[in-house]
Amino acid sequence: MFQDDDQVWLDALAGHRGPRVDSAAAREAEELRAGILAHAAEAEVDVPARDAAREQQLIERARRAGLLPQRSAPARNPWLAWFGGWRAGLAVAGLAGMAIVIGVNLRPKAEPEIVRSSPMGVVRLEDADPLELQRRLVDELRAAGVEAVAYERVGLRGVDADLPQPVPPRIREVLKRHRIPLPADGVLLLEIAEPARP
Amino acid sequence: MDKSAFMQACRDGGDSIEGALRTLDRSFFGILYRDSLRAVRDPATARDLVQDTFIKVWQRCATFRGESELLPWIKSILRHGILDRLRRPDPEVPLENDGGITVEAEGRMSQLHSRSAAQPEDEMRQRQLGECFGRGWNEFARAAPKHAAVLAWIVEDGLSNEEISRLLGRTPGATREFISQCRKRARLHLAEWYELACGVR
Repeated sequence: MFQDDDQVWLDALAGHRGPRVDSAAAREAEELRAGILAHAAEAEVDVPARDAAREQQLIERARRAGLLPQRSAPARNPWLAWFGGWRAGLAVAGLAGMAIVIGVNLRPKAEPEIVRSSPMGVVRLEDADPLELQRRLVDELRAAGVEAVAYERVGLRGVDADLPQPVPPRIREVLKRHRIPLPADGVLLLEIAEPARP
Repeated sequence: MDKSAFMQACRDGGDSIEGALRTLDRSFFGILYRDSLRAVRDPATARDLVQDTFIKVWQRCATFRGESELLPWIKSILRHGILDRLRRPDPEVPLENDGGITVEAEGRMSQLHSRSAAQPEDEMRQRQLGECFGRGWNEFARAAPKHAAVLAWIVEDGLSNEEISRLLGRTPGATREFISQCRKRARLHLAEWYELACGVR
């Protein structure tokens, strides 16, 4: 849980002098700040301001990203020319349709999410469709009057929300419906993942 | 590169982008690369992140209104990229229960305010302190790269709660939890250095 002590520590770490500059937390942060600054100065590396190869690599990358025009168009392969245009579009649409049909048939049937654990206040949920559950939770929490924030980090979806205190019955109802324990400090931290495959 | 030249190149588009990209690289690559390298600790990844940032900068140039200077805006794009690279869906480890923060260590921390920090009396002691910090910090950055990177940015740019919250894309409550975690992790990995720096044995 975040305490006033942590705020004093953060302010001192950031170099801001607050009213409690003589506290243990401020002293601890000032030591750490000095250590980080000294370490950063020691670890400084020389980087040339101009590097032709580096610039060229950047320009090529910008071309690949479509920011700059391609230098010269390659000669077109006649087969590719025939296949281009509406035929390619048709083929891509056909493949996409097949993928959707296969995906829908292979997808596991919807099952209720499982609450796995809650280390350090983070509640981990497992569900066959994390995106859908994330949307549902955000919608339900917002409908109950909470400003819930959805996020996605490297494939892991989550929802954060600061709950009003005391927690109103409508919000308690949402949490109960999903078997999510009520956070003691009012900070709801959820992570949603697909169930681990056997 | 100044912001008016950047905004003009953004409006002009076309060929002016190539020249502007080269100018961006010459102006800011060094400072961004060092920032990136400190966080990801791998030269190739650091370089890749900076170049990726320059591309994003041009893709989003129309959103830059010139209210701030150019470098802080570019830095924030880089830092989002760094955090995305560092984020892994690793489970959080409860620090209070893993034997890292003992009651004794807490007690020693609390003594910090009552003792003045031991001033290094000579170069050797200062070197020892620096090496000890380096070992602890490297361990911290390996174990919790995201937390170490954010701590370094707080020191470097004096970030407030709100700025950290925007950077992380989390609510104020989740950000406070994150900062609390940063402090605990720093204590865990830098315990030896804290002892040396504060003269507590």
